[in-house]
Amino acid sequence: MPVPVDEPLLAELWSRFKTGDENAFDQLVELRYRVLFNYGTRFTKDRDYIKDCIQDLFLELWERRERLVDTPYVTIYLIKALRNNFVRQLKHDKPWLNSQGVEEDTLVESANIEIDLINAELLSEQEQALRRAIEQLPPRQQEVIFLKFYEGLSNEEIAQIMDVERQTVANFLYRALSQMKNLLPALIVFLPFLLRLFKKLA
Amino acid sequence: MKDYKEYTVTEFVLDDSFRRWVLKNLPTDSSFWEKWVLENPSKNESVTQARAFILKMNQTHELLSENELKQAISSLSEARNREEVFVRPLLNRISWWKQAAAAVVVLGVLGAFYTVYQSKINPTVVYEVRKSQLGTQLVEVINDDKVEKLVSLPDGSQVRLSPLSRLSYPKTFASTVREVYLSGEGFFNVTKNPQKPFLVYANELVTKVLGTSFLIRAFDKADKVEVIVKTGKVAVYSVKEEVSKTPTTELTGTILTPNQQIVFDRKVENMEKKLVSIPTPVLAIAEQTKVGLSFSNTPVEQALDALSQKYGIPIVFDKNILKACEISAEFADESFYEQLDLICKAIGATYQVVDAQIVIQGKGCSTN
Repeated sequence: MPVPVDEPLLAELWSRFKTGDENAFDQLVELRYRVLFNYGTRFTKDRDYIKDCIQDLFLELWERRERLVDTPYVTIYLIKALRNNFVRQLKHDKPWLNSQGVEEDTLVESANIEIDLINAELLSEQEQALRRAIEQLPPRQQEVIFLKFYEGLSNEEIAQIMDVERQTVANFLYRALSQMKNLLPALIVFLPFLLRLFKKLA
Repeated sequence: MKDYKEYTVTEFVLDDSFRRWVLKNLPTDSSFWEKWVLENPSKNESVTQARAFILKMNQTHELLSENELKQAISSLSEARNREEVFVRPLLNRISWWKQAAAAVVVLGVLGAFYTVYQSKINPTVVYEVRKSQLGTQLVEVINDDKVEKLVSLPDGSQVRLSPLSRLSYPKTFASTVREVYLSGEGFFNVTKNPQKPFLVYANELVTKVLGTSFLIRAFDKADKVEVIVKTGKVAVYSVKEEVSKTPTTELTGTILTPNQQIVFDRKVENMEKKLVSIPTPVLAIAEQTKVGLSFSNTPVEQALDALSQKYGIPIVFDKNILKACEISAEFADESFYEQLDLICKAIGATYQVVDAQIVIQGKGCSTN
């Protein structure tokens, strides 16, 4: 479970870090690293690459701190910034991937063993099954699922991050959940209401 | 206000406030939902299911272990400290600079109060004397505050100066060497520059570094001055040995590698190289798992090499004698010496610490 994070607290840390407060910056990093990392796994399975991108993002923010604006939505700001960097850098660093980077499955096979180990360490069997189902979704649907259920964002917030219409988010969400239902016949055990959930959505 | 009484599990799952409560548990959401759940016992089952689903979905996305998180955060904060240095206009952002900046820990206590007393022992090492030698170009930072003070040196290195400590350094470093004088305690974050060694003077010892991390303990009243290496290599020599002022980029003097320390006896002016009492692994955590000190019928030579590698401590033994020895063991939290003891016991050998190295003596094992 990630530590619960209070957006007003983040906003306060944000404005303190802009004035050069290193402690506030470190706290901000600590509170938001996890969500950024996990979000990054939507784009690539190369863990070191994700870490580099997050590090670059934070260092860039630190360097530009005096020119940053105040925002009450720090998490969304960070996620969106990381997303932009990913889309831009994946294009640049890994041109062999689809130009959008996010449209195609960017799974790096060599990282699988490591990922499996981590899965075993962190997740129950049920959760692993669920993850496998999520991983079969198209990247943009995965992204919506992540933002919705990991970070708990609203459709409006997700739309803002992904630069799409709110309705598009709802569509992605609907398609993702429907597909997961097909992928997860064995998961009926998991939650009987899933069926109801999909009925409702349909 | 939404009528949550009519909500299905699905609607709960998709409700923003509900998800926020489950995922973030902020006071505003939780006070509402906790009260609501109590008031609506008939919805308990739906709420429980919706919670379970959200938590499961959340957990499913978790890909980062605690250790990994800690490592990543600390490497980020190190990088920021370095970066801080490099955004200054005088240095171009050359990548090896970025890579090479190393944390240098210098710890010493040399209270000004004892300066006079100290000067009787060896006037040349006294901070005050050194300071006066530096003359007018000197910058002195005195921390008489209760919290540590951040000092930026002209080369971009940074020092966190502890309370009751003083640091002197030239306004601009000489072209060939960076020299600083410490009285008290300081955490040095030195940018690496092999062309321009960084020298720390503390009591009788000079510690020269091209880029590494180490600890200096120079308590003024103590009989000893100690230098302990954490990573990389440092050279230590006594002030007296520093005959010529010509700085070299070579590391001369006594070279220390990780888990080694120098103990300088101030009375007899003798330097002794030792191992630290509790060696710590020098390999990064990621590499440690590869080194994995788990042996099953492993030739003892391999086991000793692994141990040596993990702690960066040389272990010397006669390969021919120990050729037939095998060992099966699993080490987890055991200290270096515990592991060494167990290995030696298993093969009927003994060890000695000689000149910061482990020397193993045994009769060997019979082949059968």
